This record gives sequence, C-alpha cells and structure tokens, in this order.
Amino acid sequence: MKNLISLYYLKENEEGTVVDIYDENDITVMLLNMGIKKGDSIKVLQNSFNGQLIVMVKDTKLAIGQGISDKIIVEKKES
Amino acid sequence: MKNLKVAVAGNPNCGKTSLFNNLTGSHQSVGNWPGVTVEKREGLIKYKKLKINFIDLPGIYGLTTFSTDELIARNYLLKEKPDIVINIVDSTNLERSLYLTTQLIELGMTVILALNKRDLAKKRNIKINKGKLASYLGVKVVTLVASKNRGTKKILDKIYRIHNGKEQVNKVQIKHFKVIEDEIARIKDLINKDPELTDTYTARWLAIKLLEKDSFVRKNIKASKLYNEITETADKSMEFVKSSFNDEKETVIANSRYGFIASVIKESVYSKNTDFTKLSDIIDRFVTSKYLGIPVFLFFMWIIFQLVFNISSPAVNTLESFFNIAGESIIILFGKNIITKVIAEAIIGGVGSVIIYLPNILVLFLAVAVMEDSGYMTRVAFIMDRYMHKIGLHGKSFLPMILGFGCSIPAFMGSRIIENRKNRIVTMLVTPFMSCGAKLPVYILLIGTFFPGKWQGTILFMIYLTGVITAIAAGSFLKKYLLKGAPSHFIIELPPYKIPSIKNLLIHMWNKTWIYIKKAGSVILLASITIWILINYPVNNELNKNHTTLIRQIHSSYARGDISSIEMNKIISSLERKQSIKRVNSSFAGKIGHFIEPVIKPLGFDWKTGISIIAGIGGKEIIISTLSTIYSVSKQDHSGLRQALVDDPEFDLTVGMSLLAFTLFFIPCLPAILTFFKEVDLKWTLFMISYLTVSSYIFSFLVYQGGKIVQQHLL
Ligand SMILES: Nc1nc2c(ncn2[C@@H]2O[C@H](COP(=O)(O)OP(=O)(O)O)[C@@H](O)[C@H]2O)c(=O)[nH]1
Ligand SMILES: [Mg+2]
Repeated sequence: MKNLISLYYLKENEEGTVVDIYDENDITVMLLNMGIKKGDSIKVLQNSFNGQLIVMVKDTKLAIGQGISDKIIVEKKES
Repeated sequence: MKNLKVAVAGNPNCGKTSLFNNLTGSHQSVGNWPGVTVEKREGLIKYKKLKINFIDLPGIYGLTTFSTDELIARNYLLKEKPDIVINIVDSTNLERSLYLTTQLIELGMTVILALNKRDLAKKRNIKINKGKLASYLGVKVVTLVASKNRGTKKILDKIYRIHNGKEQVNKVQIKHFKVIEDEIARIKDLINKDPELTDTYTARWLAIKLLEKDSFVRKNIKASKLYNEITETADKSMEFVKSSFNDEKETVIANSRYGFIASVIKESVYSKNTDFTKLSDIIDRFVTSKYLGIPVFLFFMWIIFQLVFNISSPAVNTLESFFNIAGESIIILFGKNIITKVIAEAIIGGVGSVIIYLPNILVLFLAVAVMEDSGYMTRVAFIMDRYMHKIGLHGKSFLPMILGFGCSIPAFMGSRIIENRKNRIVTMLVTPFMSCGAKLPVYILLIGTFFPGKWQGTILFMIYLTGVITAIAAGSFLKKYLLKGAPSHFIIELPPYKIPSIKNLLIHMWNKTWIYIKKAGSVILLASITIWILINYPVNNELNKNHTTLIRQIHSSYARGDISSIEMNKIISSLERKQSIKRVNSSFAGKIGHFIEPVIKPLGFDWKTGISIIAGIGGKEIIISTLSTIYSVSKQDHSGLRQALVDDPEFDLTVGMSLLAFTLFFIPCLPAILTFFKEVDLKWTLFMISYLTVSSYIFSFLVYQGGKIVQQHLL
C-alpha cells in the first residue's frame, strides 16, 4: 500500500515523493516556479509541526510556510 | 546607430546584479537574498564602437509572476523586446533555472545562457557540457564567476559577435508532448488568420500562452475579431489536453517544459552525488530552530547596537570637538559678522551636528550589509514567518522591514516582493516603526546625553525592539480591521551562507552612507540656513537699542570705578545671554514656535523642540541640526548640542525620553512619504500620515506624563 500523507507530517530527515498538490492553481504554479513538481523527491530538514518546514529539493533549500505544506501530498519513502 | 538593448534576466539571487556591475562598472547593491533588486536599472557602455544598453532586472522564476517586482521584469521582457537576453543561471541549480530559460526560448528571444557560480559548481563536482547544452537549447553558452568578475569579457565578445553576425544563434523550438503540440498547431492556424496578431509575438508563443490561460496574452489579442473563436478553441484544447493527461490543472504545459529540461540535463550535465553535510545546514540547525531562532536573532541585534555605540563613540567625540573648535576659531579669526555667523552657527552648528554621527551610521549600515550578504536575511524571514503568519502576513514582509533600518525609501520599494496588494500596504504602513538610519543620530544624542555609558547600547537596542514589536502589533491591527484578506503563501529559497565579500559590503555601505552625506550637504544644509534666518530675523531694532544703551551704561559705571572689570564682564555676558533669548523669542522662529507650543506642551516639548520636529519632516536628522542651530544662536557659544541640552534645565530625562518616543513613532521624512505615495496611492498616504501622527502624540504623551509622575513620587 502506498503511504500517502501531506508534507506537513513528515518528520526531520524523512523523505517523500510529491504525488499531488491540492489547491487553487496559485500554489501549484508558485511551486513549479521554484522547481517543485510531481515526482520530485523532497527531504525534510526541519519541521516544527506548525506548518513551517525547511526542505531540500534537489540542491535547493527552501523554507515553506503554513498553508503550503499541508497541500503538498507526498508518498513517504521507507528508510 | 541605435543602442543595443541587452537585458540581464534570471532567478532571484543568481548573480544578475553582480554581472551587471561588472559589465557596466556601476555599483548597484548585491546581496545574498532574493529581493535586493526590485526595479530595473540601466547602464550604457561602449564596447568596440558598439553602444550597449544593459538592463538589470528583478529576479523571476518564470514568466508567470506573482509580485510587483516580478511583474516589472516580465513586462520588460515581453514589451520592450530586448535584442539579446543574458539569462544568468546558477550552475548548482540548473534544472529549476532552465525553467525560465525554456520560456525565454519559447518567446523567441536571442539568449546567451550564462552559467554562473562556476566556482561552487566545481566544488560540487558538477560538470556541464556547454556544447550540448547550447545545441539542445538553441542558445549561446558562457561560464562565469560573476562575484569575481570572471567571464565578463567573454559575454561582451559574444554580444559583439552575435550583433555583427559573426556568430549565429540557431534557435530551436521547445518540443512539447505530442498531444500538446497538436493543440498548439490548431490554435496557431487560427491565429495566423489574423495577420495583425503576429506583429509583436509569434503565433506559436501566443498559442502556448493561450493554452496556459495567460491573462496578459488574452488582453493582447482582445482587439482581434477572432478573439472569441480563438479563446474558445484554446479553452477546448486545454480541456482535451487535461483529460488526456488525466490532470485537472493548466500546469500540464509547465510539466511538459520540465520534461524537456530533464532530458536536456540528462544529456549534458554530469554530477557525482557527493553527499556532504554542509556548513550551512549546521548553522541553520541553530539559527532557524524553533526555540533558538528568536533568541539568536535578538542576541545579534543586541550585539549590533552595542557596537553602534561603543566602537563609534571615540570617533564621534573627536568629530564633535573638531566641529566645536572649528566654529569657535572662525569667529575668533574673522570676527563676528553675518558670514562667519552663518558658517559657525548654521553650517558647522547645524550640518556638523549631524555629520558627527557618521561613525554610528557606518557601523549600523555595515551590520545590515553583513546580514544581507551572509545569507542570514532569509533565515530571519523564516523565523519571523511564525509571528507574521499569525497576524495575516508572512515572513517575506520582514525583509523590506529590515531594509527599513537603513532607510524607509528602499524599504517601501523593497515591499514590491509581497505578492498581495493589501499585504504589501500593511507592510509599508508598519515599516516606519523600524527606525531608519536618520533616526539613529537622534537616539544617539538623547541616549548619550541622559544615560550612563554602560547602558547606552542596551537602551538603543530596546528602542529598536520596541519599534519591531509595535510594527507587528500595528500590522495585526491593520490586517484585522482595515486590510482584511487571505494571507498569501510563504515560500522562499534559503541560499547557502557565505562569508560576505568585502566588495559587496563596501558597495552596500557606500550606497547608503552616500545618501546620508548627500542629504547633509543639501537638505540639511538648506534647512539649517533657513532656520538660522528664521531665528535671526526680523531684527528687532527697539530691543537692540535698549540693549546697546544698557551695555553703554555698564561700561560707563566701570569707567567711573563703580564696578570692577570682572564684575563688568559677568554682567555683560549675562545681559548678552538674556538679550539673545529675547531676540530669538521675537524672531520668526520664536513666534512660530510659541504659536504651536500649547499643542506640544503636554509632551514636554518647548518651542525649540517643536520647531525642530516640524523641520524634521524634511529628514529626521534635521531635528538635530535645527536644535543645534537654535541653541548655538541663542546661547552664543559653540560647545555642541549635547552640552547645550545638559545645560538646559527644561530639557531633562523625561523630556528626552518623550522626544525619543516621538521620533520613533512619528511620520517618515518627506521623500519617503513621496515614495509611499508613488508606490501606493493618496488615500493610504494620508492614512499613514494621520495614524503615525496620532500614535506618536499618544506615545510621547504617555511617556512624558508617566515620567513626570514617577519623578514626583521618587523625588
Ligand atoms: N560563489 C559565487 N557567488 C556568487 C557568484 N555570483 C554572485 N554571487 C553571489 O550571489 C549573491 C547574489 O548576487 P546578486 O548579484 O545580488 O544576484 P541577483 O539577485 O541575481 O542580482 C551575492 O551574495 C553574490 O556575491 C559567483 O559566481 N560565485
Ligand atoms: Mg539583483
């Protein structure tokens, strides 16, 4: 079974693959601009469980605020 | 011959301004965070008889934009149609960077792809096959290290050779998936039926953009009689594309671009995945941590203000004595006449009183520059996002607010990075609470006069902190009651930390300090002379006649032997002092001051402070230069403003604190207000002026009245 959860719940050092972005178009386009899209692998570097995350996508470190992290659906990678 | 237009475009923070400075020899500010450049800047140079006009643009990630600064870049590219675009990319982050590149290629631009940050790419073992990249993308490729001015000549040469036809750019088409290409062809055919449509843009580009539902392009073809037919077809095509990809969003086209990019990268980029824990990650563990983030930030601020006071105070004292002696000497050497008085009292007394704080200003600006170039700025945005989100804004608002520590004008402009207009206005409305560089001298003067040395830095820190907290509180209020609306989304790149480059720091400091010096030489000089005239005129002949008679009487009593020479000098100097106070009181300035005095009395201010505050609307330093000019005229000595305040029994600690509060909360200077107006509108400008005036009055009132009560109970 696939382990689908929102990025919000990934703990530090966990990784996931983006499967979907739930939203009005804006967030999707914004994320596309920043290089995040379906199929990308995202690693969480910091999560304080208030919606704020620091993640690594490829070689880019991104800070993501509340309201976005909950809309990114990932398939959690088993480590 | 026409100038060649060459635009520098790329993602935020990829090195555009660094390259622009190299190409044009200018000194625009460079910083390690997205949002340094928020307007386009031009620089004209001559290279081998070719006149090239370079345009530095704000950073963009793609042609679909969200904020005002991005819109400026996009509009430039779409409307001005530069002859050549230098598309700078960060070599360590090629995939994302090429997303913009593909869109520039689609637009049919002649692109020089500049692979920047070569040094970092090398360190990370990223190898890029330039030849392959060039032929897949149909662009010219050059490698650069913009921060070290390497590769500049190569770019100039490329431009020259392209322009002269010595090098051909074999443009390619970005191939989309077959399903999409079929639909593009369908729309394209339709567009081609109206030849006027393809005057500015190619049919293919219009077709792609129509598929993507781009509003700019829709507006662009509005005039065509085929408008309805075209848009309907485009919409239908999009539905078809979406259904065949089983996707419900317009972003299928963007995905198809990324598909193209992935294949290009696979063929031309080799990177050994060296997994090293970077220093940046270790620093971030502390700096952005949930619990340590804020304390670390506050600690840095505290250190900064200690330095602002302590490092600079010897230099400030030296400068102050220098100006005092200079004022003194001019009068002694050349006697008292209108010219020497203007020089001693207005120029040295007024302008000098502001210049002496240059050392403090330099330290503060250096600190802000270090924050900007080290990469710490974006981290502050992140840690503040938690609080900013609560009040309905987000972390990015804090970036222009930090610029506000330097000057409100770039801070107002810097808020262009905020995506949503309402949120942008809120950010701008609270920015004045972040004390600007010109307020610093006022703080330094008052704190330096009334507080003991070892507390001064901490008190200064508290003032700034009060400003920051007030800004957040005010933001919360404005958002809740006046500028309601959904928060926009916070996402920001955290660039790796770097040791700030001396060059970047110097440019930053110089750009900001130069403004300060220019102001001293223009606005403040003008204000000081104006004030000087207002204090010295109109000449009250009657007063002067009485005074002369009195002096003559004293002289004759000395001649008669009624009083000793010591007694005579004492009486005369006391008379002189009383006389100058009387004269100042009957001057224009005195009359205006006395007229407004009832209004400001509850704040503890006398007419001198009142006049200074009003003059200070021209620039906060003018508060100081005006006070200084008034005191040096009315005291008839040149011992400096600090001494004058100590000597003035009316000006005590409570008044000083009240003036501190007032300065912190009062409206920004006139040039900043004008910038606000240009960036927003009249309504909000008037609102800002009134709400800041009211808040400064209330706070200052509370401080003064509270202080008086405390004083009464303690003494
Ligand atoms: N290591 C390295 N850093 C660079 C290079 N070019 C620019 N930078 C740094 O990248 C940051 C952003 O530069 P800037 O010119 O302001 O980028 P812009 O936002 O695109 O205008 C600054 O800290 C520069 O010093 C480079 O070739 N190598
Ligand atoms: Mg720039």
